[in-house]
Amino acid sequence: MTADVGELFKLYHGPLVRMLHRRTGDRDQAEELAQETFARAVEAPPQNPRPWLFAVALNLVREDARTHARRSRRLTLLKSEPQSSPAPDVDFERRERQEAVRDALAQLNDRDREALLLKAEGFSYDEIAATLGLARGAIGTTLARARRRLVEAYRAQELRKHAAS
Amino acid sequence: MPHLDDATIHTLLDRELDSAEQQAVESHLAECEQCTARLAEERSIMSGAEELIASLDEPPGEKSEVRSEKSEVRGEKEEARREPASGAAFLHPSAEPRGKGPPVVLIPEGVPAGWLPRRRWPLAAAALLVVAGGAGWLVFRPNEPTAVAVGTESLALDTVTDAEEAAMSAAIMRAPAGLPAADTTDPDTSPQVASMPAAQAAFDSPATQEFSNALPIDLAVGVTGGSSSTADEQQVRLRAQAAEVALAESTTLAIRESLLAVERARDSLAQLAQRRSDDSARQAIAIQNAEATERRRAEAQRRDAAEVALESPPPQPVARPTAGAAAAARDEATTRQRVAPAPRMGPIGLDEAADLLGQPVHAIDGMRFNSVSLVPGSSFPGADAARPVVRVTYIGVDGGIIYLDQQRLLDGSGEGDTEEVFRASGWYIGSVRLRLMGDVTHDSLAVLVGKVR
Repeated sequence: MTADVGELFKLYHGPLVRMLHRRTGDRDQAEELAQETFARAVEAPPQNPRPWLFAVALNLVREDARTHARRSRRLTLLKSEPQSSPAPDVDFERRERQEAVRDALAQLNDRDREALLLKAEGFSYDEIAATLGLARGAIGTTLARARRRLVEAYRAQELRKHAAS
Repeated sequence: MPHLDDATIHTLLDRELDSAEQQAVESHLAECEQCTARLAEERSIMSGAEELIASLDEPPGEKSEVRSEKSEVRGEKEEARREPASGAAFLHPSAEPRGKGPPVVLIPEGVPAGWLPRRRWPLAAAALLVVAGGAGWLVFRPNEPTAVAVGTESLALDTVTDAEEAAMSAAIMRAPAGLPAADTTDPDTSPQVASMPAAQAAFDSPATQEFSNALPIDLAVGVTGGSSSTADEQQVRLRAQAAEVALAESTTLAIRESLLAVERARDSLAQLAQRRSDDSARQAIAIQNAEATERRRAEAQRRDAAEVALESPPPQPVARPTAGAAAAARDEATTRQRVAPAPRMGPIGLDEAADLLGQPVHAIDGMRFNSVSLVPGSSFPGADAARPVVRVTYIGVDGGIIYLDQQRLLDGSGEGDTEEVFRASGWYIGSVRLRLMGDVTHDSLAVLVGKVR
């Protein structure tokens, strides 16, 4: 059993953390949730591991979103800025863009957002359907809507920012 | 066949249509310009969305390198802490992390499932979970305080990743905004470096300006002596050296360290100068400045990459630039000042800082600050860029420098804004955004954050 989980860890830990980081914006939270996901896999080894692991991870994100946010604030702000350079605006543009993208992503509903993130991890329509509990025929519609909404939300933010500046 | 809907187009783009569907769709596209145009539009949306999602990732190497080095540090710390730590029975001797990669602790196979924490907090505190492939062991690390796990994300002054270097280089080469431009407006002292645009950019860069900010202290206390023209020459020469250093590929770290050293020295000197105006204080200042200057010189010479910059003649205060160049420089300086007037940087009083913040300066309870100063920059959305960052500097018990940065929000932008802003940039007290950083452990910083009043 454990060897199987070890193999799963090798295969999916990186993609899982990446997807969770994209979803949460918090590297350590992503690591923690990935750990919890694998801990659950130890207890109940999945038959279809990739959709199972990502589905559990996404469920954990949803469960955790409220409780984790308040608790982690102060510590998160420290680790999110590993540099102690005196220049406070170093790397600012990239972070600003990431915040804008994350805000845009936050405007999507859970299903659209998660379908997008899973597709970005190379999931097939069948795997996305299995992970999210959707019909395969709904995936094309979901992705088309999610992509358009994400791009439009981001563009709207950019326009607002330019208008304000 | 009717026109293609969005779902069909995206399914086609994702190569998820079956062969019959694909054939039908391609036949339709061959005849329908409208659908062909929509296909192009949807392809653009798809690639745009993918690009946006990919932009959420950290630049390659930024986090992983830092994390790997930290893991090594953590491994050493834990080794010292562990004996005779409880839970050591679960440790497998071969599992201790030595190289790069996640730390490893083993759980014997057959441990009851209930042994594994069901909630993630104990797991979080336990740092990374790794599995030893094929060994029949699960990897686990005994619980530690959360602060320790977070602390391993400590500020790594000695760890500069490629991405950080790139960001630093970009910052160095960025055209300055609102910086004092006396050197370019005064033809008598203006260095003729038009033939070295890169050098000029580095020469004028905020990093170089910061780097050479200690120089006026030399001049102000008369340590270096000589006429003003000699002083100007020396200032130009030393700033040229700073520019050379900034140009060298591998000097990012040196600049960062030097900036910290300069900042520390400047804070100390300012405090000294306030308390003691006698000759002995000046002597102490002279010694420290001489050491700082020598350190910068040694740093510049030590770096191999700096030789690239040194091969070119350093900018010298030579003949007056042409009238056109001087006029252009003046125009540029005028434009800069008009667009972004440079706030006065450097040490300020608490009252003045409070005026800038619109509320009393926040401080760390129980610690005596070393200095209060203004530094340039605006580091988060909603900051009032017209107001510089108020930086309260502390010296920790181990000599590490700690900065408590504070900046006022734009009027009407509200408190806290969004959670994402909060996470990325700091926290808020009233209408002031704060950030704590320093070259001390994260354990210490985590404690200090809770003491900010």
